[in-house]
This record gives sequence, C-alpha cells and structure tokens, in this order.
Amino acid sequence: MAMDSTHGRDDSEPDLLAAVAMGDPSAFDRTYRLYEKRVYQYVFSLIHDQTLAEDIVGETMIAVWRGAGTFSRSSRVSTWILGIARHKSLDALRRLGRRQREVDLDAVADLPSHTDTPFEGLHRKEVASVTQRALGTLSREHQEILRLVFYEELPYGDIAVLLGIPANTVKTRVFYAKQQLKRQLERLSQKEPIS
Amino acid sequence: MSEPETLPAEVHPEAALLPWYANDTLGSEERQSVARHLESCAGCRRELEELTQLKHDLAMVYGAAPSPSPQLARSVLQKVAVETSLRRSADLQGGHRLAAVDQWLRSLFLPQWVPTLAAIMLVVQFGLLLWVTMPVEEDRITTRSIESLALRYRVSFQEQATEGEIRALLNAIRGRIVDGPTAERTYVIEVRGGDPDSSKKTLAMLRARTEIVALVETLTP
Repeated sequence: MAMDSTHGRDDSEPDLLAAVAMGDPSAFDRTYRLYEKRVYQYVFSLIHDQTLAEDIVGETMIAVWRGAGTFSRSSRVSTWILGIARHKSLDALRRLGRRQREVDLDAVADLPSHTDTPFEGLHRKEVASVTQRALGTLSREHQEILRLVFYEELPYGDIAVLLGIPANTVKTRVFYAKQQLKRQLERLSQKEPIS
Repeated sequence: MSEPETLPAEVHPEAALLPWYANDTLGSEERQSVARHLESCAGCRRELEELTQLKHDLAMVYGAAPSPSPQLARSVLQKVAVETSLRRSADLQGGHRLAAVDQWLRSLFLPQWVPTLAAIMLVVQFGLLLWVTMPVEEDRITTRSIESLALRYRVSFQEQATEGEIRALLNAIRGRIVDGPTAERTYVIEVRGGDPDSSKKTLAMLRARTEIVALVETLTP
C-alpha cells in the first residue's frame, strides 16, 4: 500500500545540515525554507501565541545555524530541529508560567485549493473545521502526538526521544489519542452532519 | 492526562504499529510483519483505512494553519548573513590559515567522521601495542657485541698495595673487579671496550705497576 508523504522525504537533509555546519549560508537558507512553517506551526500548537511562536522559531533556526555540527544523524533532521523548538517552547512556557490554553476554536484556517470544485472545497472546509474542533477538545499531549505521527511523519523511536518517553508509551498514547479523536469526530458529526 | 499504560487486551500487537505503517516509517521487519497480519485481519485493515483518512484530514488541518510573518525570515536570514560576514572578515584578518586548520579539524569532528576517526585511532593503538610487545632482534646483537669486547685478567696485588692505589690503577685501565678474591688472593678484572691493541696496552700497564700488581695474566674469553 503506497502511503502519501506530507512533506516529502529527502535523504539529502543530513548532508544539507553538514553544509550548514561548515558555515554555508545558502545551505542554511534552504534548511530555513524547508522548516520555517513546520517549526512555526508546531511551536504555535504548543504555546498558542503568534509573537512568542515567531520569537521561538527565530531562536530555533539560529540554534540550528550555530549548532548544526552537533547533529548526530541518529535521528531525522526534522526530529532534531523539532526537538530544539520543543525545548525552547517548554522553556518559554515555564518562564511565563503560562498554563496550556486550549486551541482557539475560532482560528480554523481558510483552506484554499486550486483543484477543488466549489462543492469539494466546501466539503474540505467542513471536514477540516470539524477535525479542527475535535482536535481542540483533546489534551495537549494527544494533540502533539497526533501531529508528530500523522503530520510530521516521525518514526515512533524518534518521537520517544523527542518527548522523552518510552516507545511503548508512544504507541499506547497514539492509540488512545486516535480513539479520543474518533469519539469527538463522531459526536461533532452527529451534531453537524457533514454534507 | 490519565490513560492506561497498555493497550486493551483485544487489540492485536500489530495494530499498535498501524500509525507508523500508515506514515511509512516502520523498519522492514516490522513492516513485513504488519503486512502479513493485515492479509488475515479485517479489523486491522479497517483501522488502517481510518488512520489513512485521519492522516489525510490532519494534513489538511495542519497544512492550512497560518505561516509566520515574512519579517521573521528576513530577520533570521539577516542575522545569519551578519554572522557569516563577521566570520569571513575574521578569517581574512590574519587568522586565515589558522581558521582553515580550525575548520578542517572541526570538520573531522563532525559526527559522520567520528566512526572513521575512532577506527583509525583503534588501528593506531593496536599497531603501537604490537610494536611495543614485539621482541627486538637488534637488542640481542648489541649485547652480544659488547660482551665480546670485554677482556678479563686474573690479577694478584702486592700485600703492601693500598686500596687507593688499586682503585687508581683500575680507573687508569677502565677496569673493574668482577670476581675474587680466591684462596690464592687473586681477583678477576674486566675491562670493557677493548680490542687486541688496547688489550696489550692494558696488560703492559698492569705489568709495569709492579709496586701494586704482583701477578697478571689474560683469561681466555
């Protein structure tokens, strides 16, 4: 069964990072373009503050520029970069003493698509809206792990390292997160059936 | 968050791996094991379909989330450009060679080189160990050659000869007492580094000092 890859796998990413480690600014430029949006969205999902999220993305990417030589190739480049971003996000949350806020349900993004018919476009928006709202009811841990598995497409070993939990906990957490999301999707779909 | 640490008993172990089967990151062994299980398990096939749909829906939600402002990219890339130009100007100001060596050394310690370096270090250490523990042929040859140059004399001293006189004589011929005295009050003197000519001279010197040496004869090596 062929699986779709969200970001496209690029085996040359470790070499790109090696070039960054050698001080190649064009390699850093490429790395930045590849990861800026992903890192921002991940950080934003953890802290829900646009300005702070941008600050953290900036700090993360500068840390990548200065510390690319410490990348050990024992995990994916994405795991390494998201790990830096996560560490900085949790630090920022601790500094601010903020409590984790729920996802802003009004922040459902517009979902442009150049290929959809008007009906398909509407359907996609509705599905995305319901999925977004169902996600918003999950705990931060469940939201995060679903993102790491299904959007960032990380192996379970990498997720275990990133979150600092055993691999078996990663598996059970994904199972229960998915179960919880399914329950919420069913509940919301019954309330507002998707056409 | 309070949830069980284990999966429900009715869940197949392979089902726990389905999310990673769906995101295509399983190792080949686990992937094959899940694929075999899917052939015979309709429940897990349904679960995989759900996960694939979920992956698609989440990609739609997350992919459409807002991007950071363009100022962020400008600010970060500008900072990197400044650092790069500072590094380059530092390189040009005298430390060019040093910086190149430094960069080369740093590149050696990039993680991808570490296994190679470690292997080289191991080989070098093993070689040193072999070199140190190997028997050295030359040592024996040197020892033998020195021994062959040592000449020995049997000597008896005059009763009135003092210890100081005997020592002075030994110093003069560069010899030392290596045996004696015997019951006949004779000693064996060894003189190292001698050749046939110097042997004759030593013998002549000893014989000439009749006030100290009563008897002297060469011993067969």
